[in-house]
Amino acid sequence: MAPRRAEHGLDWLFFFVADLQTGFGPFIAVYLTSHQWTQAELGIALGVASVSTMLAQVPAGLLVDLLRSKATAAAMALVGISTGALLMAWSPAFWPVLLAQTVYGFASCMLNPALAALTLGLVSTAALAERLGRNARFAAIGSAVGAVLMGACGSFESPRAVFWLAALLCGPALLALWSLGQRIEIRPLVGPADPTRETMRHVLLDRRLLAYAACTLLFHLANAAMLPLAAVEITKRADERASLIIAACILVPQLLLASLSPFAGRAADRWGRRAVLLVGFCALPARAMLLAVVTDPLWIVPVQALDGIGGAAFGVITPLVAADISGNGGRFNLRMGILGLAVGVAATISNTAAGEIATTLGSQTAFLALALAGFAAVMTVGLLMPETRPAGGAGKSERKSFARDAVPLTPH
Amino acid sequence: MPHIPTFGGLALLAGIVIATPGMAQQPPPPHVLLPAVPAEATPTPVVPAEQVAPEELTGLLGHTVVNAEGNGLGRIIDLLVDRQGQVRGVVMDVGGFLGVGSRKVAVAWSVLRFASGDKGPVISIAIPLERIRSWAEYIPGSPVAILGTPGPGQ
Repeated sequence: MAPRRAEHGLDWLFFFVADLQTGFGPFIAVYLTSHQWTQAELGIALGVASVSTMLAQVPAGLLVDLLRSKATAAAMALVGISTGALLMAWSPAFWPVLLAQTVYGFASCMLNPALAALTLGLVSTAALAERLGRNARFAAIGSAVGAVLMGACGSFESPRAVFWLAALLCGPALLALWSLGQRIEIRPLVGPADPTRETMRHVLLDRRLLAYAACTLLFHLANAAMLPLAAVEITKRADERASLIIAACILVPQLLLASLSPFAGRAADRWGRRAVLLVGFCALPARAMLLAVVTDPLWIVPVQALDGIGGAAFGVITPLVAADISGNGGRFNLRMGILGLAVGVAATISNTAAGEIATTLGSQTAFLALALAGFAAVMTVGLLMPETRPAGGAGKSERKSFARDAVPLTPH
Repeated sequence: MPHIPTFGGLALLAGIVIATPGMAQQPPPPHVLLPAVPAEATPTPVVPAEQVAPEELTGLLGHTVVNAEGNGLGRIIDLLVDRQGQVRGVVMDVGGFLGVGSRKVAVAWSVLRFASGDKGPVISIAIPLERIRSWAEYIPGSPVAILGTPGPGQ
């Protein structure tokens, strides 16, 4: 059955995209150091990477809105990412790496909104929340598999091989995209509608978007530095198992995320977006406070697993809220870009500030500061965030129709 | 004692390695006193340059340091040189998974052990892993605690 195939195509697409993105991130520092980069050069390269990723968010969102075919946008982004990976692997010299980082930054900013927009084009409004939950599940499985693959590749082969592998994985991702084929229905909802129908002013002054951007900012302010800080504590305290324990801290939350995401999607329809956000965000200050008191490295793993709860809520609700408030205005990707910018800014501040607090006042204080930010995030959801679930759309009457068997895809 | 020329060669090579990959216009990091190394080691132009087999030498930056059993401990990411041009220690990046959770620690040059291997010199440290990983974080611009040196009052 065709829609079933398209649905599996989407599963694989999210799986491979998450897979290939694992190599970019902290691992770049390992790779470049292994190629005789000085710390000063490394600082410049990483700075360029994070700034370009932040600056590209909004323009990339605007571009994806303008492109008629979201599949083309996703394909362009995938080609950009594989180009970046190839360039990194081919020449770990200063300018090629800077170019690769910039290309990767822009491409990844296009990819996430484009994939979400593709999903919107494939399923009906009623089935959207459930499908986004499923997207998040396959993305989580993909990052877990990616972490194992690339961790093995980096330690048994070479750091360089990680980037060859990332470039290689763009192949199956493109294949999955291609398998969706013409089945993507151009729907007026958030598809390639004329973006001029909604002015920038209208998008930017929307109270719901501003409220959710504030939630996003505070969430990542609390969240971004938590795993790196916890991992440093593990390195300090654990014996030769340290790397394995850190790997578990990366993998276990992804497994939890994979099992919780579909539930988060259904819950968002049943009890509303706010309810899911509140529950998920509460895991954040709880995790930070537990990390402040837990001393045994092995116990950090179950505490870190709470990351899966927050991650599931944020991962599912973010595109859902953007879709809710975009309606059929054609500015869905711009909104995703704005939220992406909030994530980038918050993550940068979080890592810098928490790192600074950890070195001057100790890691315990840093975790407590992150808990405070997490608490502020919960309060923001509770006090500022309005419910965005469409009144009639995914209400009680429709829920049963897509609950189990009905394929949540527009038949073609 | 063959230790001294090896030392000089490594220091010189480290200087070259620091200077090459980042393109010529890239200024050297401020904490590495580059001028001290060439001034000490540049031979007069009349003498033909020394030829060293690749397996005799290695660059220090990015070089993996192993423990007594030959298991990797971490990579050398920087050299610490004092005002006299003496290499005091190396900065190592240790621990972590996929770059998450690694730490930078300063280790005294005197505790590094050098041996020959198939792919060039093998650098090892006999200090227990736990002690290296839990050592004070190296932060440029702050007082540096070098692992393997007697501290004040010891």
